[in-house]
Amino acid sequence: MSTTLIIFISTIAILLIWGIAIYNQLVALSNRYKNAFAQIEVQLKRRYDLIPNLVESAKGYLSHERETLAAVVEARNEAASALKAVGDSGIDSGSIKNLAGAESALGAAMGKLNVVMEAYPDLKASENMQQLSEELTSTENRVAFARQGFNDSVMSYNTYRQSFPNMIIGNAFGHREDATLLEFADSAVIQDAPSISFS
Amino acid sequence: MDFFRDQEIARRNTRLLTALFVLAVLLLIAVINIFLAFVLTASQTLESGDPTTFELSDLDIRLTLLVSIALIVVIGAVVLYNWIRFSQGGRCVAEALGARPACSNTENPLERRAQNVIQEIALAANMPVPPLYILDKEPGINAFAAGISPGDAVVAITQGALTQLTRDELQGVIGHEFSHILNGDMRLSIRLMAMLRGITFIGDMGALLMRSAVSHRARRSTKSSNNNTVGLLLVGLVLYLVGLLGGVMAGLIKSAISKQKEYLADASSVQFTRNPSGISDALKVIGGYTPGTLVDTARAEEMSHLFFGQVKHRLWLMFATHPPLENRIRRVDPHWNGEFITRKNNLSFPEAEATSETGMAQAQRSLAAALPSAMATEMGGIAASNQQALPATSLDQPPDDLTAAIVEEAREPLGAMSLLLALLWHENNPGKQRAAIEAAKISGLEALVVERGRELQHLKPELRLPLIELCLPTLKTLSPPQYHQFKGLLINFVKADGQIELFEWCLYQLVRHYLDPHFVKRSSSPQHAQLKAVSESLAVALGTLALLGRGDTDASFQSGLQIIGLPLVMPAAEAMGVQQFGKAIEQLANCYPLLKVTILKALIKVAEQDGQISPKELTLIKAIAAVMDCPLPNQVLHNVMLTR
Repeated sequence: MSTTLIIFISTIAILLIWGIAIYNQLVALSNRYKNAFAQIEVQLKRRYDLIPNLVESAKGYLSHERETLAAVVEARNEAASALKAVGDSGIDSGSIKNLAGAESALGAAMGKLNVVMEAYPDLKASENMQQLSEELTSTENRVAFARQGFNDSVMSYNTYRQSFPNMIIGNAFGHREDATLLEFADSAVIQDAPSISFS
Repeated sequence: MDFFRDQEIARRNTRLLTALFVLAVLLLIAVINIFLAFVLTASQTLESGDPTTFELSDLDIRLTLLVSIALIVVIGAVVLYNWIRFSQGGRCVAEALGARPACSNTENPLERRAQNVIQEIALAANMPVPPLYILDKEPGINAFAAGISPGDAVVAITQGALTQLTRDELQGVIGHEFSHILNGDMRLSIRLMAMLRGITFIGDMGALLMRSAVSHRARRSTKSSNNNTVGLLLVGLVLYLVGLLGGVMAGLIKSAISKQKEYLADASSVQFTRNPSGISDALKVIGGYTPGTLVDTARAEEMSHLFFGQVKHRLWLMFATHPPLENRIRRVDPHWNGEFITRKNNLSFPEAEATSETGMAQAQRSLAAALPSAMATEMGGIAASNQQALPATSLDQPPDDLTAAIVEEAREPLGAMSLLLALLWHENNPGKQRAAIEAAKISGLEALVVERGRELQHLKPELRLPLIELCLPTLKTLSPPQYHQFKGLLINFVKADGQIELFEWCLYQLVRHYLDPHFVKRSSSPQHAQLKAVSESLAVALGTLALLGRGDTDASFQSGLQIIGLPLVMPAAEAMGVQQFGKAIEQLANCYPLLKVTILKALIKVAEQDGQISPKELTLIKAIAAVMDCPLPNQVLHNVMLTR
């Protein structure tokens, strides 16, 4: 009896250790992608802080384009609250998709504003505006870079979680769902050259 | 404070620890076996009715052997698992304790302040900034440092420490943690933790078995399974009791090794911060604060020796991992009147530093200002020890300190990458470097690098190393693919002009040394116990440094040999390329700590033979020290100069 018991206990112990190892790795990977999101968050916040300044400086010149400006402000507020929602509710697929949608809308609105601003050379030449748009471009680059890092870590978490036998442990102990990649649909829209008709 | 001697002592303590651990395991095995034999005889007595007395000779050899082997296998497996796990670096330990990494460019003013404090002290210690971790929801004031080498160290503090301590006090606490890193205590702590886990694991398993037996019994009360459940319950109980005994022994071992190190770390903290009231006030605040230093996290107990203060209440001093608060305060502040400091409300730090946006900018500026001034005091110290002032190299260059904007940039991954590349930027011949960036396809990087590259052209040489060390921790937040991409880009960048300069080597080595362990698994242990074994590498290292000086190359080389005490020959100039130099330093890095200090002393001696240590030489020495995993805190550098 004692021999089997000892073998039984040893087997349980080894299985337990293995399980703990997998679980710990899952926790580590999920912490990593959450931290990567914090990087995006800082840059997005910075972007949302810059946009009202931009709108404020453009207002004087763009008195005939109130709608465009209002659309930018609205999209900015939407995106800011979507980001806040991610912070409050944690990084789940719903809130991430919301944020991605809001960001796409903001990107489109900003693209429109850029096109409009083309028509006002004074505005583009103002030093304040140049500085602001330089800041914005730089911040957007940082967002893109941080987003790549976030998506990489989400990918490695998902891959680890889906492989066998990790999925058994994951399903049993609260790692049931894949993390969602943050994809901005706008990137294609923004890079399309604005269609201008010469009629 | 001699950090190198302390590292050696820590190493010796590890041996003591191993001996104690083996003793504890043997004791456990003996206790289990005697207990089993006792139970067996008792059951025989019950069955037969004969009153047989229990004797040691009744031990069944086969059973004893089996039980012992099973125990050793289980303990061995647990220790091995934990050892491997914790050896991966400080962040694994921090994550196991439930700490969350603080974002390097966080906007939370309290975390920002802690980040700044860590950066300042890392500067004083000449080591890369360890990442900050936060233990949320812990009201107690506590902190810990974890990691095997300075490259993978992390510093974690509790929410309580964030909110309750002033800036000076926080500095004291973090200085304490840094000295644990420099004293080499972390390696010991982590081994201790892995081994103790092996002992306490038995108890945990017992508890688990008992719990499952009880729930099993509650569900099914048929008679046939009853016997089994009772057996399971009994086994669980025995394991649990043995675990308790193991816990007692683990506590004793921990207490024996931990206490003395705490006094030492308190003392070193004063040396780092040059402010005894910082750490003593922190201790007094803890004394007057109801949650004290207690930490709730499930696994805090087993890692209690890592922390700044006692994690759980202790009835007996024998089991305490930390000396009593009063004793610690008295050692730092002998004139203490015995009164603790009570803080009524949270957030006692000055408003200006934290809450407002301008306050944050101010903190940025103060850090930016601290960088050059810290360098200046160090340079001043060297000058004083040489009894002649340094030539006014800093005066004929434009005053290009690190601006707040650059410090800010270093906290953000893309910015940190661009700064490192900008340090290598060739303003005159940018063609290939531009191509390298374009090939990497990271949007916006090129513009940043070009802009910063122009700015950093005139950076004082002695500020380059601090800037690199400021950037490195931020890069730890990259994802592995991004890091490999960056490393590839860095190599192309260095090679762009067809030759590798010494500074380029330094930068690449520092990046590789501090970041590789984070992304790629790596392990190395000291191999060389005697300088003779590395004589060729030594000659190359000393020779390269001698060539760098302005004085008589041969005389410089010879002066280094006086310290080494080996008859070396200056290698031919062609045998001292950057590549050979790199290989030599890597071999030197595998020496035992006490040898490393001799090597560093010899290097310093060579460098100062011509009467002065140029910033270039200083940067090289510090980079070598960093690659050798023995960062030279500024005051140690100073002491070495004085006692030459």
